Amino acid sequence: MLGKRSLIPQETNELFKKHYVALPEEAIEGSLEREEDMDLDRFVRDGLAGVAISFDAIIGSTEVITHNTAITIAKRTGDDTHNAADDMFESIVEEKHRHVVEIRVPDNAKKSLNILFVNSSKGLAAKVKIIVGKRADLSLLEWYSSAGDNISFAGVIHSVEAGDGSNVEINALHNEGKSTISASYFNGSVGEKAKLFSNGTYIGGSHVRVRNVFDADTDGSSIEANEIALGAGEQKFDLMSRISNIGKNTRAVLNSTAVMDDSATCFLKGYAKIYHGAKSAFSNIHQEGLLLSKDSKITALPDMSIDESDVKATHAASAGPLEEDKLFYMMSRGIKAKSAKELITAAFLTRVISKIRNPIAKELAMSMVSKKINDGSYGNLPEMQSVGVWDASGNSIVIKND
Amino acid sequence: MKLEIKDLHVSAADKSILKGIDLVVGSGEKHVIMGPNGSGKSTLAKAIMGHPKLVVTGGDILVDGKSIIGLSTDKRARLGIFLQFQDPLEIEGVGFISFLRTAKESVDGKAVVMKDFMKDVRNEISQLKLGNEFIGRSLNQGFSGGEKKKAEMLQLSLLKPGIAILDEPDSGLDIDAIKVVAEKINEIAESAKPGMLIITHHTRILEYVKPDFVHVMVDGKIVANGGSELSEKLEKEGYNSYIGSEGKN
Repeated sequence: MLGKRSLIPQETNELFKKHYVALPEEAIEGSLEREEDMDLDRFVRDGLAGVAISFDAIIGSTEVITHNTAITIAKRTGDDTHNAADDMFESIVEEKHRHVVEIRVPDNAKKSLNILFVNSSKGLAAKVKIIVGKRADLSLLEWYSSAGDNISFAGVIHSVEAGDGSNVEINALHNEGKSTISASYFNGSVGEKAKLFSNGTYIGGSHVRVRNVFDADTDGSSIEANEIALGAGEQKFDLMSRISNIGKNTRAVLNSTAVMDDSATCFLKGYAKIYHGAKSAFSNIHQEGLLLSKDSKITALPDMSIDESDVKATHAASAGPLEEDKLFYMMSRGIKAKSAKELITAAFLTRVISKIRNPIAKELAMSMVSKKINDGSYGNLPEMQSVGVWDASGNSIVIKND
Repeated sequence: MKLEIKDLHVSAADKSILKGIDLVVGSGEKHVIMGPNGSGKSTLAKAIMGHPKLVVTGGDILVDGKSIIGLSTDKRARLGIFLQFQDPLEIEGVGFISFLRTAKESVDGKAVVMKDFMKDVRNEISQLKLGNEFIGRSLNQGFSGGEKKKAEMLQLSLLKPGIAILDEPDSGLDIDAIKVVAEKINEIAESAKPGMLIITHHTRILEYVKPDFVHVMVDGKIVANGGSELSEKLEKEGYNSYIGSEGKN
């Protein structure tokens, strides 16, 4: 189903070309050539022993473990490559990937799957093909983690085909370690009246590069992509997503939210394209950033190209520092400055996280975000440390303790 | 708890706003400060709470004899000072209940028993004639003007401060809502007996809340002191006789 439109070079916008995070190419290629230093069986036995979530597949740098027949692993064959457009790092993943993870959901079936990706000091390059049948449902949780202290690359290319009338939710929780350079690519297309709902939460890694393409190909199809980046220290994020309305009565939404502290930087690049003939299309890009320090930086770049007149299309972008009066208000209730800052930051991100429908993914996303906000740590395996059910207002505490 | 303000001078952005305020608020006393727009009433309230943009250029603020000038806002709150905001900020994503709980635990220095806490919250919501949907909402987000005032009253009631500064608790309220808010103020004054400093432009709320002391503030100074008869006089005569008199005190 992936058509030519999905392969169009993404960075045609001059501003997008100008604002980007350079990735250390030599270190990336060096890590992919490095000897494996992780025993995946031991990692699963020791590292995952206390993790209260079962994974249907664990994708390591060199080894793979699967526990579910819906997920099959194929070795790289050479004929599973596609034109990687003009992205050098996508090309590296294409050239170096060892495995193709294939997830198939038959027509009318319903699946919920959890996958762990873990790169060792040896870099990880993998491809994931997701094929969801007609009127089928898939809820996928992906957790990205790291083992090993050397600078390492974790690059994954996704292709998603959502069959007519299907519902697909993909939640990618990126919690790679401090030495990991992360690059993820997503090409998604949806069938008639199908819905693709993608949530990417990025808190880990030293450099994070995201290039997503979401196409509402066919009539009545819907795509919604939510991105969250929470950066600190010297972390660098470069998130670019393209949403397209191609069919009639299609809906395409991109929400990007970033919070940066210390000297962290983030580019939010959103491009919406409405093709001629996409009558009654709805398109929206919303980008919002919160700066927690004077040296942090967020650059929000929304762009739209509309070739059809019968559409609704809007975009909004803003980024600014924490409002002093909000802090004052919370502190006037006895809340310490650090806690007030954490509450406001968590609230800023909770608005997007609360949209995640998969309850485990939602809890894990909130949990890893809370942990980073509270003690600055990231790069850990999943912890179910949240306190109950989160609603859109961030009221998580009522149900658990009542 | 006793609040003493001694010859307080406060500036904002190098502009002098408070020009020598003296005031003592004792436990269980209800003080009302009235004055025209721009006289510095809200600045006084924020200065007591330690707003970061206000600079104390002279004088002192003491609680039970100890200066609080060097204390951060949160420490002042934990000491027992509460400021009801005239127009509280909306903070999307911070759950109203989460916020209340965090505030209560911060002020009390101990964890709340959630079941008891929620019972208290629901009781307050009922008394203040707010809907139960309040529990699921973000902090002040989408609240009407009246709901914001009532939400502030709810916080005041739950946090039980020793000194309560109410910055225009009546502004923007209809007659019925003024009665509800006034009843809550009276109930808190009667039960917890905090020292209260109520800032208002109008005398309507004073039909329901009887002050022990009334002060008139003009151009950063208190120019007249009295009892409830002073507010009645202001209702009839307005502030005109005090404007221009601040230099004569």
